[in-house]
Amino acid sequence: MKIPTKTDQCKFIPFQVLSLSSTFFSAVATIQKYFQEEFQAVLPQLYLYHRAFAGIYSADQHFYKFSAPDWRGDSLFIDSKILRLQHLHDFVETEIQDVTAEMDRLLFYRFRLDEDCVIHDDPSQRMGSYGFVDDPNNAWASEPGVLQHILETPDLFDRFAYRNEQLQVVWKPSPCLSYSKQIFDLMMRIFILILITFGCPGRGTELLSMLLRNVSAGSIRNIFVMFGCIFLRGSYNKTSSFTNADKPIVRIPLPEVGLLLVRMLVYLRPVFCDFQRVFHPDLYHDAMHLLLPGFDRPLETRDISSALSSLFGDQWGIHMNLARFRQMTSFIFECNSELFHIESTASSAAKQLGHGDEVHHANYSGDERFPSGLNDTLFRDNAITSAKYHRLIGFELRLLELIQQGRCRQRQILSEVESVMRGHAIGAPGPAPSAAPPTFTAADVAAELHHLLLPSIHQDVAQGVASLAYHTNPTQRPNEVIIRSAAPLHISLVASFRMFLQLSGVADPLSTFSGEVQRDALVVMARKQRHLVYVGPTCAYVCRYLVESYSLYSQAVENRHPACFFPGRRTPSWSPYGSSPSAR
Amino acid sequence: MHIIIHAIYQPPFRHQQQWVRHHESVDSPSLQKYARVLSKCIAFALNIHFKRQPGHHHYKFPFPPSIATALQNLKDNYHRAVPPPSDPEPTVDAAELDPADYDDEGEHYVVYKHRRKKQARAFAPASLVIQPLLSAVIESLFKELPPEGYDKKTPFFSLVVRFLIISCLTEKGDFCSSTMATQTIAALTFGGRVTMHNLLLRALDENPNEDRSV
Repeated sequence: MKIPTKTDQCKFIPFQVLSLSSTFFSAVATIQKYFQEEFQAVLPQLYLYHRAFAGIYSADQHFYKFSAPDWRGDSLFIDSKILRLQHLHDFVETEIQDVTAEMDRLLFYRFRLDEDCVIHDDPSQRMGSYGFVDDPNNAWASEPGVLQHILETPDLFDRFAYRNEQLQVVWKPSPCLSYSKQIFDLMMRIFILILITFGCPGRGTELLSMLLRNVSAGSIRNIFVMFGCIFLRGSYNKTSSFTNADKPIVRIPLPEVGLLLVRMLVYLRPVFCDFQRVFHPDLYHDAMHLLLPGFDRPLETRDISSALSSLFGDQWGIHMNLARFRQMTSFIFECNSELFHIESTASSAAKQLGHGDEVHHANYSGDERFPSGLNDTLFRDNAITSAKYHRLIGFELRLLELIQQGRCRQRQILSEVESVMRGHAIGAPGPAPSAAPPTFTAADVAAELHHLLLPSIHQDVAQGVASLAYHTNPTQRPNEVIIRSAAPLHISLVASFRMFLQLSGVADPLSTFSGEVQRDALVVMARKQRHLVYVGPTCAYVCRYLVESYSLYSQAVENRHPACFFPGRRTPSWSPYGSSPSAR
Repeated sequence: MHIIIHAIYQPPFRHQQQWVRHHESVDSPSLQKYARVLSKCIAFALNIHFKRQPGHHHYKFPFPPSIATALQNLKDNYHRAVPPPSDPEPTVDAAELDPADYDDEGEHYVVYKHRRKKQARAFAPASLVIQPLLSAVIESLFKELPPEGYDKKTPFFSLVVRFLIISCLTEKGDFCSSTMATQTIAALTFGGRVTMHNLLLRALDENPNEDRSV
């Protein structure tokens, strides 16, 4: 008898090929009766029983059940032990300090991120291998990395590498792998912190498939920076397989934990990737693209469960895995159902447009400021849930403050609407006592002031520049100085410009300047003279230009004229032929 | 005919087509789990068949000759298949396991504490003896058809279905949850499909000169 091996089991021939061969027809006839229900063979019966059992839900006992000592919602019983949310809070605080210290050590006490640093991200960017860590606008993009630091520091170089006879750098396996493993362990610790603080976690398959960077011709990433905080976008989940659609889910960890994650991704992950490329090349792609890559093999759900099991076992003597942790978080949410109650997510716009919410979200509510599939309504619903959870485990509502920045106008209108709905006219004395006064944060006030003051500031700047130009060249009237010709266009330059355009690939031989400013700038560049260019907005949102001779500007600086107040006072280094980054 | 061929590779529920996992994509832990269920089924058959004693009220039912022959062959040749003595494999205390060791999708049984103790099982030469016999037993189980004059009102006739029902009973006599029952059914169904595939390949091997191309 032929033993069916796994290879044989895998040798399935496509159905279309089978159906056209008479040999297969005769072969299938030998087993035909074992699949037909009328013969009452075993396999059809099993399928029928499966269908019956799969429809029974009331008797399902594979479901963790918890209990709580009271109705406060801040503690629960697990395995006859009590777990308080304060325990989680204390652990997170301690762990953040420990992880920070460990990260400092791994980063050689360098490479720090400011707490108020601005992180640039483009959520709608779909380019392959793009992630916010690669955005060139971020501060770290121009800094040397950790690997460069290792190569340039003799002690560290001797520790991690040596040069062979061809003077090539050869990495030492043992210290490099040890360093990579420490980075990996740190990543797991940060991930557990994220898991504990971002609300209800997804399944293991969903968590492990989260992407740090876009995959070319594949999925977009799952980690973004918006409102000054990191958020994870859940895309794949169990329902994706039969709905053929991603379900947008937003989970936001504690802002402090988010900063730890950013620092790890920005500074430590590149070293990890480079070492993986050398020592585990099969896992290099995972290290580049996955939020949680493996060290010597791809991670599985049991790895997350194992990490949770170690944590809960060591800290509180509780057996825990990911499935149980999901149930536990769900129970905490249920115990605080009043806090997490969402009244309605139906959009008023959808109602007035005359279609359902699904159609509205799919076709009408696109928002370029958010990743694909998300808009402000969906984002806020999920983000506020995370923010409430942060408060529930004892942390401040900093996330909520970040999300609510700049929305005071909406709250003010809402307050007015509620007031009118209660029978009070706008402006009437004595608002309804039950109407809650709108609350303003410092950020709201700053945003409003910014909106109100910016046009006048721009106008003052433009007037100052005009005043400067007037004092450097008093023969010209101020209202004509704003746009002034730096030098007349000599006819001999026109031929040079046309040749330049032809070399640049401009097909139209009759191309001309788009405006006087462009002409002035090119003339200045062609004459190889140092000039000052000021481009500033006005209150009418129309850009104004000033091309001023550098000699006139220097004259104003030497005279210490009060109108010369803008940057570059000491030594203007701008020049069309040798610009420095600072002057640009 | 097309329906028959289709049924080999996919369950009959059209709406479940997206859940079908191709056999080659079934991972190693699932295969081990399926093998464990099938081994329980074979052990159940052996116990029922060979522990019958007159005067004792054992659970018993008539065996078809094909199954009885296959079981007898297995019993007769088992002594040839006993592996040589070796170091005992570390075992897992069943008392330390609980439902929490299932992963979140309930598919794999995860033993964290003892995972590192597991060692790669060496290929035993005795497997060449025992595997054809085991395959014959499994084949006879899934090829079982109702006997002549079978009363369709009788709820169960086949050994596999009887094993399914018995395995759903807990120690206290209650039925287990439907989730556990469907997992047992999934394992048995997988074994049945692989068995039928083996039969199909054998039928093709019996006609090697015929053209297999399209």
